[in-house]
Amino acid sequence: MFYDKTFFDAHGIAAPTTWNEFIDACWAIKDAGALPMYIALKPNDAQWFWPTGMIGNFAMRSKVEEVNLLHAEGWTFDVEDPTSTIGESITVDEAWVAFNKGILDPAVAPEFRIYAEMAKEWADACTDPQAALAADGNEVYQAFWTGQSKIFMNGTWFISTLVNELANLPEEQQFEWSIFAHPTPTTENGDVFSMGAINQNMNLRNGFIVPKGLDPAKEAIAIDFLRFMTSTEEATKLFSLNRVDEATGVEYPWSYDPPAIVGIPMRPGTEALYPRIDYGEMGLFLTSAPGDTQSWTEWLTFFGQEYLGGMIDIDTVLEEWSFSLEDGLERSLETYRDEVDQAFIDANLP
Amino acid sequence: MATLSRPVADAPPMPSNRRNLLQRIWDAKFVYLILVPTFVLLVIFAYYPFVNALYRSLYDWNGVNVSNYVGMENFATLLSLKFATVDPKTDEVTGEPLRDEAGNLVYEDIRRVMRNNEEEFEDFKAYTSIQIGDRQYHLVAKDPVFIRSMGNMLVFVVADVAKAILIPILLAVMLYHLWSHRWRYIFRIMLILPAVVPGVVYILLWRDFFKMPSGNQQAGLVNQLLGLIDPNLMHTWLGDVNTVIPALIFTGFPWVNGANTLILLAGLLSIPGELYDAVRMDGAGAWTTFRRLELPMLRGPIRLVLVFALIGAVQGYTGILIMTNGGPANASMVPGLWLYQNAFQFNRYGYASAIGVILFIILITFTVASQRMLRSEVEYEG
Amino acid sequence: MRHQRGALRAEVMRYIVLLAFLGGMFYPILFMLLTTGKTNAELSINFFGFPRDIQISNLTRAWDAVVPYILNSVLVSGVAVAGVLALAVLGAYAFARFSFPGKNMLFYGVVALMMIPGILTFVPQFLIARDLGLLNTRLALILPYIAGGQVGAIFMLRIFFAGLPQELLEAARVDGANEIVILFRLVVPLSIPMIMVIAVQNILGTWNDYIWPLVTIGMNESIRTVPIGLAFLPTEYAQIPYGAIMAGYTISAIPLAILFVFTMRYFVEGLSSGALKL
Repeated sequence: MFYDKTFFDAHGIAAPTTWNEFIDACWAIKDAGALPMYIALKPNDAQWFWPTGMIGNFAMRSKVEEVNLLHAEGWTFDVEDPTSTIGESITVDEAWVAFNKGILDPAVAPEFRIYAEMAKEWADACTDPQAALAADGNEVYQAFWTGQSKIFMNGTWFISTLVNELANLPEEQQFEWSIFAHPTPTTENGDVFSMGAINQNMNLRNGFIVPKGLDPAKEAIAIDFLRFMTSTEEATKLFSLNRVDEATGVEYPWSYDPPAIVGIPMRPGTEALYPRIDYGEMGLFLTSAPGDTQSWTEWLTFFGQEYLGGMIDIDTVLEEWSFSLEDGLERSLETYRDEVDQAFIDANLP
Repeated sequence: MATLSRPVADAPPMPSNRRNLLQRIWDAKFVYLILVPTFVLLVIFAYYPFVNALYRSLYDWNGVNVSNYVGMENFATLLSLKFATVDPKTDEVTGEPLRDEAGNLVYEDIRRVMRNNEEEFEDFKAYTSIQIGDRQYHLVAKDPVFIRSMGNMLVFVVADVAKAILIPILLAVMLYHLWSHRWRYIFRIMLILPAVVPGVVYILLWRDFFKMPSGNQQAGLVNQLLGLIDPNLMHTWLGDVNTVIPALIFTGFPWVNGANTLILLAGLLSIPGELYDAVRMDGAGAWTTFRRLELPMLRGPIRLVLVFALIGAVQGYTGILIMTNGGPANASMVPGLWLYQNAFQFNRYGYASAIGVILFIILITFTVASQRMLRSEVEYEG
Repeated sequence: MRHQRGALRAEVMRYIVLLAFLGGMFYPILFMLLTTGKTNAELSINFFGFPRDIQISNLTRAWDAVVPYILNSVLVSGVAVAGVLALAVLGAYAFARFSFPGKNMLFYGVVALMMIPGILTFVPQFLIARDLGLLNTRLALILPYIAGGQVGAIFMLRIFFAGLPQELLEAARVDGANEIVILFRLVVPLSIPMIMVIAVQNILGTWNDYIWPLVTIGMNESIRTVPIGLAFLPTEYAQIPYGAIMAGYTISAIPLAILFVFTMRYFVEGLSSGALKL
């Protein structure tokens, strides 16, 4: 999370590390007459829904073994060991069973209510929900470097743009920027946050999928290419930004996120923005059904626009969420019917 | 029609039997050859899509692997609408109405009411409600977004038709009565001139015009002007469910439509001068002339402009897609955009086709009705 | 002339009303032009007025961004309109001049398409373009544009061709000219005003089309047309100041402005004479 260090220092606001500190910092910024975060409650501004998964998955960690029922033989989940989740994922049938048991039903499961409360608290403290309803995602970048907002969530790829833009501004509008890691919820926010801390939205998060039933020759090519892309040599290039822009001659001495692949060194002179933090995670927290854009779009509307925008209350949003997720899961069961294990569903749902 | 087609000089005499028909087809082979590219393109990009849309509207189809015949279910979902009434909660023992701390009556949430009555309200969702007396009247629908979009469409149809006719009529009459024909010509050119700027630019400009100021970002034109009067009048016009529709209707103010103005002006120019002389002889003023002579004589062009505006308003959604994408909270959704989202975001191509078929039926009804009226008009004039 | 004073007042009123509406109509364009010359900083202190220090750099920055879109649009609209005119002239001539079995059926088959709204066929058209492998190629625009554009064009040209003086064509035929010669030496030159009107109308339609290019070629940045390119401009060039975005809009108006210089007369006449009624 990028922030305007000049402003923070001038008003004696410290960079937060926990969720509650973050909310307090936002109120302090508002008291100082500024807007903490300029957001757009639209699908093209990830700032407001990006953290959803990070916080929600953190809250759901104690439920992983209850949901991931189709796991490999002898598997156990270890929150302190990220590698314990390798090869595991939540499938549609598992999600359907867990939804019907209430574990993943937003109207029933406590984790969803806690998240909804935190999100609303954040929207009120850190943003201007009315303006966010009309704003567009492509405005939020400029809002940060032009001083409209004091905190901006983005990836390290934003650094070069930020540096360039700040350099173009008149002297008196320039400011010193810095970053803090995404604030972590703690047990102060609820007992569900007792296993570890939040996983940062960083490091190697992407898995690669080679579709089943691909022509074997193509499959071999795809796997070969992935091996190349993830080789130590190539990954090193990707993970060490430290470079000079050939066109402008501007130096970018900052690193991308520290490499997650063991054995990849950081380029000499590269500075890590913050240390690597990793916990085992399974992605249980469902805003919408896997592979179903409709329930995702619905979530963006009823949760983002209607709930954060102050049009409906928390009970209504959780009910809507439950309906939408149920419909979406039904559609996903149909879409992925060739892979759905009907016997598993029947065995687990009376 | 007969006068339009003239036989070629060396065409054979009218044949009557089958052999002659084949002979005639063979004789006309080059004509068919000329028409081949036209019809190949039409089959691929017009006939087949048309048939396909009708046929696919009966399917639950994601365009890839799911393709289930569902009969009229898509239409049933789109058009299902029910009333539900909710009475205040009462004390089970005394039968007295329950009240909360503030003294207000307490109602069961409509969603829970529907969940408790699964048989009647399965798959229904809350759409809108009003309260009359102590009773709540709810309108519930299986697809409340579509119902809302149809309501919005009606509003936009009325507004767009009014915009497409009223201002252009005013301008056309002004232009017609200008003494200087040179100036009339200059104005005509000026009316068409804005067409050089891509249409999307106007939409993007207007989206900016509604912006609120924040930080060192400037307010848009609309809020700048309102701010000059009173800063409290500034508003997030496109971000408020209550103002988004009026703001979208206001877009394009003062709604000058150059093409329509010229079409109507052409209608005025074709009014015979003797009719004007006759009306003037009666001592009629400008308003009477307009009502008694110009308006009746403009009926044809007005109907033409009206049909185009109507067709545009029923199926158009480019402006809304760019300005609000149907938001906030689907408040500015229109059927075209809902079709677009179902098809391209949700991969529900069958459902989207069903929306298309409903719009097709609406449009064909309008078109046929207007053709009927047009025909009676022609007979009347003849 | 006892009404003269009143009549003069009415004439002045007419000018006032016309100028007021035209002023309102042109204001967005004026705003765009004025803002083209401003920096973000100047915009904050001088929103409405003329730029004090005209920023040529806005234009040069936007030029590089917008010119590729303009070239794409010129290519797409140009090829499409050429295709429409070629097919429509031939098709309309066939329908207007020849008698052949199935003629009426085929002609109504074309004209009936004018009753089918684009919104109905939109989704299947997209899926066909996808299945033919046209997505993210220019053909995904050009072929449907030709297919759709020729329908109205055939209809209008057929009426126009049939209305041409027959004696002229008969005379040419007696002189031994074949149909191809008659079409291109006689019919087409006589129809230039009508063909121009159809061409301009078609170019305007394809040039301004937004949603079809958005779904079919929106992902292929290198062939984006002007409307989608402009809509993405603020996203793609987050670092370009507002004035440069306005400069981009301004530049995008140049091609049609050039086209209008040459065809304005036909277009205005066409609209005014009611040629576009159908």
